[in-house]
Amino acid sequence: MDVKLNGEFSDNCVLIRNSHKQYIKNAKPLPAAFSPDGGMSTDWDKYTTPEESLARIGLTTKINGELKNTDFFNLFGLKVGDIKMIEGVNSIDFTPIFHNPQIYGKPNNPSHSDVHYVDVELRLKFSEIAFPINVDRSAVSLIISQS
Amino acid sequence: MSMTQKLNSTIRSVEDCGLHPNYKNDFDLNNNFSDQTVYGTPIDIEGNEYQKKESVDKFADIYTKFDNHIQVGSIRGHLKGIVYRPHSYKIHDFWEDIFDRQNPLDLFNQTISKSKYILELEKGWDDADAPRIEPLLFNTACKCISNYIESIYKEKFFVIQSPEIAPVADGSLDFSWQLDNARMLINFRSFNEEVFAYFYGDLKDNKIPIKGNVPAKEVFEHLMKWMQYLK
Repeated sequence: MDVKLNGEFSDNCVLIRNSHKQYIKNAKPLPAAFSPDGGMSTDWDKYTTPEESLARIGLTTKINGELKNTDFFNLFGLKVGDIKMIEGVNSIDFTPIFHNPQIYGKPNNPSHSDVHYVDVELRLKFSEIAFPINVDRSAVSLIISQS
Repeated sequence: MSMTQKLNSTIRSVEDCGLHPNYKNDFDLNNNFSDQTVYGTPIDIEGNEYQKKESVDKFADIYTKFDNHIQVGSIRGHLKGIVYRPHSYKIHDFWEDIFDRQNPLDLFNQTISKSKYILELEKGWDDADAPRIEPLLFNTACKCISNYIESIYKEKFFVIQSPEIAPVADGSLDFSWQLDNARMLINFRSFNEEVFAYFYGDLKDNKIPIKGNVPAKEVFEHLMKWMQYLK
């Protein structure tokens, strides 16, 4: 079954997925890193750099109101072409988040995209096609401090 | 001799075979084959259902006893018997080496010990709003995987690889194997206080895929058989 694309995603586009350290083993993401919450949230590389993506995490609040620590997160990439090869992915939707005025703890995200799927097997497969993305963490700190 | 006496005699013979390597088999090879009460369930021309059921149960019982002794008694006896021969100077119980000294759960128990930090995770452990992992879910899931490991060991005499155990943001628990030849993910979730295992596995190049869900409280043969690829 073809994956429904709501956005002009080419096969070479990369969706950036952030992963908490709890989900990383030997520098690789475990299947648990790709758990969907409605859809699996990612950032489309067409509209963001990895540094901006990680900085948005640092500008997001936890349930206790504190800002998240970016040191606890790594970024992984998923090529759209690889995702489309996996049977069971329903759709990839470009769903940017924009609030005016911006809400503290919930930064606007012009690159937000959701991958919709249901089954356990897809998490296993995503964990195998994901590749690590290097991030300049000093640039991330700079973006956070300027926001 | 009545039917019951004949059956009891047969049961004793089978037990003797299993328990003694010398085979004290007193089964009467000179039986009259025309005597149908010995070599088959008698045809109940009177329609006595109770007697029919009883005789079937007796035969089932014989097979069960025989099966048990084949697995435990006689094999052990034979293993010992081999080394008791005169040319062997060392008395050695191979049975202990093969079965008693190896705990198939050693490896998995180590994995569980390393994963017990999961029980200490508090709500929001993923820096978002992940709920804590319930001890009942953790224990049931670990027990379930242990049961599968033991079942495979009993059937094939090898221990499968230990999985990675990871909490999931929705409060469920993942057990994953990502090996060179096979991969599998079993996700344990609770519904109405019952734990279910949702699984997917396949071999290299998506061959022989298996997918589905089962209650975690018992071992299902189709899943157990497939998990043997996780060697």
